[in-house]
Amino acid sequence: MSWDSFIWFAAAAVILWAVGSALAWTGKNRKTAIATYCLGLLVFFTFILLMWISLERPPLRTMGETRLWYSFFLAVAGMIVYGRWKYKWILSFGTIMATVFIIVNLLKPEIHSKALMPALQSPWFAPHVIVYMFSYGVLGAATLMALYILIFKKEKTTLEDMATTDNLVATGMAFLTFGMLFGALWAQEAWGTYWGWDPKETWAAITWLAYLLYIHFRIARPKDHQTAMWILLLAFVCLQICWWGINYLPSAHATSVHVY
Amino acid sequence: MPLFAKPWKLSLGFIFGGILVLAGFVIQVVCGPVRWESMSSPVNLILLVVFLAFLVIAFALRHKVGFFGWLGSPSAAVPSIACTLLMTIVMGLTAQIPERGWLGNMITFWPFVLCYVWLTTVVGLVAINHLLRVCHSWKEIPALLNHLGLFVTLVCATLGSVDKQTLEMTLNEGGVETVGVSEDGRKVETGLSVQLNDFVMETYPNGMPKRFASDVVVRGKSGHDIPGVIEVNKPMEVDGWKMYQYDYDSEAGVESKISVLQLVKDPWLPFVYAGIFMMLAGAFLMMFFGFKKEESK
Repeated sequence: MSWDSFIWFAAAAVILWAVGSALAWTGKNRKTAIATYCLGLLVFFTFILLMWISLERPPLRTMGETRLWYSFFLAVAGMIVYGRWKYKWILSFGTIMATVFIIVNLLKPEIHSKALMPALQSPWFAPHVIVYMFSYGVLGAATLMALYILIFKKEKTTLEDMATTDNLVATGMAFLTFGMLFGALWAQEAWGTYWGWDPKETWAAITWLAYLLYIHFRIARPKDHQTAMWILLLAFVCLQICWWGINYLPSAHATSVHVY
Repeated sequence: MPLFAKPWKLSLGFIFGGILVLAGFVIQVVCGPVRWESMSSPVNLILLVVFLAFLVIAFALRHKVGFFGWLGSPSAAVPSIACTLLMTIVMGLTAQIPERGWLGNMITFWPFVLCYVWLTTVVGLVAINHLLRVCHSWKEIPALLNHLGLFVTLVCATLGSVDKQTLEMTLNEGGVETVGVSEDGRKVETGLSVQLNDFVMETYPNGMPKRFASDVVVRGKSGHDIPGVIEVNKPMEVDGWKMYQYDYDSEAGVESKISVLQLVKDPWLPFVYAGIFMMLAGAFLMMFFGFKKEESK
């Protein structure tokens, strides 16, 4: 399997997701919507698996490969929210977001060789990155909730809306914690320093603290929904800097082991 | 009305944070940066005892002294997280190169350190609170693990970093070495004698490195010869020293007859691990139970 066939798998997945999302909008065929959408997930994941097999290593090494997982987990997060809380718009947004990253990958695939440098040959490598990508996907869905509440929703914010956002953040934060601590345990095994304030680590701490701020603001001031949503948007900006923005920060370029 | 009386306003916390940053700035000007190296054992142990004693006293007096009550409340948690976040963002935006002045060395910058101390104090007080309540309600367990885990990790990582020894040991094939060189260039007797039998470097067809390994025999306190292979991501441990594959003669490449090991001794590591595993367990539980909200208030 190579990146040449990506376009076919991606197209099939996006069409299935789009049909599933359209069915969700009508509100009648909930089960068919879920089934169609899940079929799209299956097609997309099949490509990831085939890449994994042909590369002889998990496809997690390059920016393009992490985007692959991100598209997948965004779609998964959309599915979870729809299945649990029944927002009919979420599948469409999940599909659009996932498609954006698929298009980025088609236009700028960032060639993926088989070689895996010794520092990355660790049992921690796959869980560290997959857990982070899942967290980014779920927190992406939480960001969509924040935009929906702040901009698109005309009526008053309901407790249900807030509960959904809180649950997404709780899940995302749990996986963010896993990702960060798996990274620490890995670094300890690789070079004896579980935390070294490398720029990527610093921005991981910033992202973690930003979502921690949201959680504690929700507890301290549960009725101030607006400020909470703005914190959530700020946190998402931090997350993006941590993930890829850091490659463009002069402060990080000098010293980071994580530039890729 | 006393300053720290309920209901606590968030703005009060931000004023407190501002004063803390300002105070840190003054200390930085007057006394210079934080000298972590002066806090090695037993100073760090004394600091730990004093800090824990302060937390227990503050907790005991939380109903009598408004300030202590506030310090363990969500109204202090929010500004303490926000100030710590801000300081860490400053660190993320400035290249951490000590020659570039205060902001190039944030971990010795007083405002940065004081914000983290404040955060740790709040986390500690909340952890004590959950610790006492957990006997009455199992629902406290996730929050207890999250707060106590973070507290233990922060405290032990910070105080422990002072006692951590990191040495580089350069080995020649066939030779034996007992001395390591510390980060500040001092020669240190490790108490180990390490013999390098062979250094192996494998490459991919395109020349990229695939594997680095040192075939060694180590003799420690026991006097027995312990054979082992040290690879990237596969360290070896003897007498509390963890030995990592660190470097080689990069000019010679595959032909390198030199291997550089990094030796690390970190006596506080088990406690940091305890904290990390508590946080992992806490995060796992948070997935299912979410975080506590009191919307009705």
